[in-house]
Amino acid sequence: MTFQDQENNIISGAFRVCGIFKTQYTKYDENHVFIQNKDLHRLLKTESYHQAALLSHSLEDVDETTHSLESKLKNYDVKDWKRISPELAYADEVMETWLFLIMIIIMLALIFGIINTMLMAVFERRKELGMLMAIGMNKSKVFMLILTETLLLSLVGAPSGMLLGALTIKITSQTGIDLSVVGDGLQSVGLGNIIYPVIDPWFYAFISILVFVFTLISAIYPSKKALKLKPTEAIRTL
Amino acid sequence: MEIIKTKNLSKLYKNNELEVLAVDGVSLSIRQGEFTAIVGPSGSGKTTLLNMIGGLDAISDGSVEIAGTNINSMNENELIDFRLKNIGFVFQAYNLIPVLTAKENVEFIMLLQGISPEERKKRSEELLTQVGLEDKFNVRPNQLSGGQQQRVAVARALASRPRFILADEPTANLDSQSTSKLLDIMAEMNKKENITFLFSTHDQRVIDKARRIVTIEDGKIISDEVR
Repeated sequence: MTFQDQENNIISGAFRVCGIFKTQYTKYDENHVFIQNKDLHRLLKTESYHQAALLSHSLEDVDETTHSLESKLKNYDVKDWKRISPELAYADEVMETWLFLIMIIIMLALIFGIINTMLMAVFERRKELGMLMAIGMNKSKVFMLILTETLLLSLVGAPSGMLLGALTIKITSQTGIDLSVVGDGLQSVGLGNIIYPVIDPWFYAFISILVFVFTLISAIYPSKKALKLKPTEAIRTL
Repeated sequence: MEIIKTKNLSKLYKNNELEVLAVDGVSLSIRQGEFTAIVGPSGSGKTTLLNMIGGLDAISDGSVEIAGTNINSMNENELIDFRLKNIGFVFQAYNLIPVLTAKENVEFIMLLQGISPEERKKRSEELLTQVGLEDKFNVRPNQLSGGQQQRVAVARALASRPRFILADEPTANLDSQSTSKLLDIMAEMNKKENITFLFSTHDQRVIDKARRIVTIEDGKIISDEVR
């Protein structure tokens, strides 16, 4: 191994390879060698270090810690993980965009699913709705009836779905999801073969609000269809 | 007292180039407490006439007055409210709400009227008893015979204390025994409580029971007989 000491002199040392390590990041494996501290100190003739790595408990603390270190250690170069590994930061960004797109697709599916279900419900019961309008149920009440039914549908569906999701996350966060089939690709951007999914609790609240809002929006079309029913025609329907 | 009054009532259906005059200048007056049958062959305009009297179908020409109120100029919401307060409906296919029990079906119209739960319960039980279904309060429509379902429909029509009952072919789907029982119940209510009934029918059993028979053909009244 050849490297520079503090006076910019070229230092060389021969080492015997005692093992080859493999992490989840191929590029890291290709560029890093571990040697004993005491051997390095002997070659450099000093006990100082030129780099220190900090492991944060949570990703959210990283920015704050970086800023705080930057202000305190003016003569040092402080880098967060995104600067050390831009590939990983990019992968994270791409993942977030995909997640957002998947969310949009799921929400669109939700809207079409609800519209379809409620339209079926309205058409199946047009005789009943026609009768209700004939005997004196006014339009606002019919509208509220369909709206309430749609909300009840989502009140049953959303918590069940989220409970199932939470259970899946709970189990897979411990067992992990094995993606070794695409392991090489993942390792090139510093991701492991096994993914341990984690969801913040606020995300469930966010999804609940989204589902509520989209349910209300999707209930409008079937409700309007119900209001257009003519009692005389609806009653005659067999 | 005149409860229903139609003047030159007409209904013109337009279907592309084809025009059909279903009701042609009908002038009819029904008094409180009458038990009237509008009779005529299929397609003679009975149901259309009944629908216009009930504010369910738009009027092409003429006018309908219910207890002195002209319903022609009412908008859709006003008509719905007017029907709720003034008219009871009995349909050919019963049209009960399948997920509600007999009592809940009768109570429902009172719920729309904003009547208290205690009064709803009392009146629905009274009415179901009157139509001979005192043991079927908590039974759903699919567990009732056709005749029983139609009796629930009569109880429902009466629950809102309407000025009159409109019944469109109420016995069309019933057997003789059920028809006879239903007609007896309605005739008794008419006699005892002076409730006005207006039927459209071509069922001879209903015609036999009616006290006034208005015969309609091609949308026109061709005879009006009081017995």
